[in-house]
Amino acid sequence: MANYKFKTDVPAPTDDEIGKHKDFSKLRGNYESVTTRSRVPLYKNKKAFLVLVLIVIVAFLMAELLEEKKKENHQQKEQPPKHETN
Amino acid sequence: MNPHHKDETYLRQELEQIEKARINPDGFGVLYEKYYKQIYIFINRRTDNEELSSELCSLTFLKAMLNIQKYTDRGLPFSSWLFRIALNEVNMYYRKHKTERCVSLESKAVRALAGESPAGPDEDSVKRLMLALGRLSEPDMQLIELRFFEERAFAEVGEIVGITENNAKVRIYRILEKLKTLLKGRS
Repeated sequence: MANYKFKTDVPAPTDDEIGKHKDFSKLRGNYESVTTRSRVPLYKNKKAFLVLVLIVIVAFLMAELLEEKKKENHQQKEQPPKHETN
Repeated sequence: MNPHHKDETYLRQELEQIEKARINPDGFGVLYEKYYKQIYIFINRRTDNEELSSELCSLTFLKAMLNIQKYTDRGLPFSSWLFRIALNEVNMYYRKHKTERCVSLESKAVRALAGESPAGPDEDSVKRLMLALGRLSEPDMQLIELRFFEERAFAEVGEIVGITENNAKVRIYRILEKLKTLLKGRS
């Protein structure tokens, strides 16, 4: 059940009080800032999405390559030097 | 005459203003000037807070401006659609902040409503009615506020709450029955 705070015969706000908050130019500004903001998400823009996928693939391949190189270096260090015997 | 009733000429003129606002956002200024006071008072009755009323009022008009292309004429004043947005904003505020919901009552309307109870409109029945009102759910309270404390037509009540006129009549009738039961239980 909801909690209510009952107020009886509350006087209506005066025109001055209401007029203080009325500002159409401010509303117009807010409207502009909302509508001019890019509303198409990145994943819905084909070009941007492809570029994003490409960046992710390149980053992934580079990470794999670096990991591979690290492993090779590590293996080379661990292998004991070979002695030639006659 | 119901203060919320508007004739056909008024509604036609208003549709033209809406069309202008659809084409050019600056045209919305006429509707803003026309309805700011009504919407502010509507919100203020439900918040009793000047700053909050102003904030919710701005949000209401911003949403109306952003969604004016979706507005469909149902033979009711544009204000009904604005009241609907405003009510949603008020509801969202209370849902988010979980504070006590403000309900503004006119003692005259409370007495009239109490007159519908079996006990009649004396001081005691008014007190009991207030207690019974406190036990109503939020959607029920909203219907009572719109119909009895703001004296709106069933069609407008339905439009604001998002139900049909008939549904509004049935639901309000049921709420009155519920109030009568609650009052009987307390007497």
